[in-house]
Amino acid sequence: MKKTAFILASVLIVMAALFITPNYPIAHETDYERYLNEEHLRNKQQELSSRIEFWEQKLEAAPGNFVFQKKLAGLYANHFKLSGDIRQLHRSDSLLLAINSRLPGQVGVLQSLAANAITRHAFREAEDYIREAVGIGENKFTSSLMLADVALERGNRLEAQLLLKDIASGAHFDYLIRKVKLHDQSDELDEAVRTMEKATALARASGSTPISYWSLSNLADMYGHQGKAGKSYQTYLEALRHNPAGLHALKGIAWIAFSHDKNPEEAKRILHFLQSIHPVPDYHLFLAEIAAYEQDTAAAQIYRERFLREASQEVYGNMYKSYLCLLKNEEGQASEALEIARQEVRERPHPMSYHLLAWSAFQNGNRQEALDILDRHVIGQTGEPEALYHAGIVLKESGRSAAGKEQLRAALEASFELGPVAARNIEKYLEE
Amino acid sequence: MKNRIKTGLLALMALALSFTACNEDDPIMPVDESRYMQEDQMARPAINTVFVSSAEKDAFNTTVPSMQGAAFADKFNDKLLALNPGYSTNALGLDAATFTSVLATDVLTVSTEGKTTFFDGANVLTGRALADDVISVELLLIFGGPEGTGNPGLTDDNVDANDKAFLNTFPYLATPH
Repeated sequence: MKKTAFILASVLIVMAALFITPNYPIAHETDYERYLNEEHLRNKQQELSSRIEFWEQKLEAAPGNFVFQKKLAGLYANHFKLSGDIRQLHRSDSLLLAINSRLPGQVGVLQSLAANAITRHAFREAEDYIREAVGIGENKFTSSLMLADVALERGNRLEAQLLLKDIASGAHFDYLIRKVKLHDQSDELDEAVRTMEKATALARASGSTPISYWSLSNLADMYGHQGKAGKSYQTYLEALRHNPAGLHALKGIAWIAFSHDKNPEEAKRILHFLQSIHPVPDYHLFLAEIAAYEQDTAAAQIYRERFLREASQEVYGNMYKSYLCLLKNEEGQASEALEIARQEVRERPHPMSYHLLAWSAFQNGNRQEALDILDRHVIGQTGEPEALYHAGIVLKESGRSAAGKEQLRAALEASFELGPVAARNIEKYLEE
Repeated sequence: MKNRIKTGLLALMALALSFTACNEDDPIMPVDESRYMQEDQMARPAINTVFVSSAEKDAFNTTVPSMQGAAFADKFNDKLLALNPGYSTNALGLDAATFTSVLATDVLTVSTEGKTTFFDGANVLTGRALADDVISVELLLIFGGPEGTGNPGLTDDNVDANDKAFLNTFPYLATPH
């Protein structure tokens, strides 16, 4: 009797746990409060600024010295990463361009120009620079890795695979992190995560702070893709232990507070901190999403407008094109959205860009065109929840209801990643 | 009409702001600097820089010196004759093939007896002292002809001393400046 009661109690506890766990908050401010402190970032920025000052003084004493110019170009590119100030990236580019026009054909300069172009999402430009570097031949290892990166963005998967096979061993970090991307783009999420775990183990073992942080924060993102919010959270915390100024990890925690814990207040608190030290347009979009969830239409509209205004500035080039495309579609500026999607496909012809093109065609009333694009370039070629979500709506609204629902159900499995607003919307579509 | 309304409804809802990975918003991949690879090697100043083409750099930098002569002497020879088409012999009496076979094995020889110098008119490659004018010596051997008097505009880098005095004690180099 006792035993039965025990078993019964156990079953009840397990059942209760099953029901309660999903809503149990994961993010606890005591875990990460110490990182919501501007000191961490300020210290890094100050160190960088003093190095910039040192080389600026050297350059001032010897104008046109390309060694000093190269040093500064690298430092300004790092400055952009820390401060989000896009003008620093342009400064880096103008130094590199000055060297390249005076002393063309330096592989290191071409690699840096390509890296900056990738950061600016100018993938065609990046491809030109890095192909030139590969052609020259010096330091081919790095050039080939970068060419593989660009090839993946430019939709040349086969070339990327061949390059990687040629230059890297399966046991190397450089190889593994690119293999992750190949798996990710092939909708092999579990394999991608396993590979990223291997790369992260190598990064940890290397003792290198930057690659440990990078690997852990990426791995945390990927646990998020799998819907494993708890694991994702713990991994963000580990990333922050390596880099207390890790903005991406803090943003990830904000997403968990919002999307999993349904605690918009805490998410907003983290985001407002991030905005105060790192003024980039991205956070407006996240805040708009939260406001939409809270059904605060006015606030959502304000944040969207801020994002549209800032992210459309010419200084950002292509960096926010995919978000601008989605947002313009929503704001009823479908023809502008379509133009942006076309640009994005030219720059980055892979399934995610084609999905934007299909979505924009659909919003412009061109259903058949949207379906053709989806069939040819998207469906079965990516597992990105956003693509599944939009493809599902297009299919369903264009008379292919069963296929649409299939896509939407797959998207719903990633409801943590898509966020509660999209999840609610998908559920509505599935009920119809 | 129905669809128009639905799209309108979507207006607030459809923005699937998925939380994208670093490598989508910032597609740049990090460099693993923890793994060591042979990237460069140099013994005689500027020889690798001048005689090895960009396309051959990686190969030269990862070839052990004992194999460099066989792999690169011919290429060095071509480069020498491209730099100085009138080359016959130099002040050491070496013809092009002999000279470049010496250069292609990029090591710094040192004599354990006698004076340490790159070239002082009497001793040749018995080592290298900090104040040796190595670049001018190399220019002289490449362009100066058998007497060292040819192409006078090309045989001196016109830098006669370091811009800061060397130290008399370890580490002997001038302090950073």
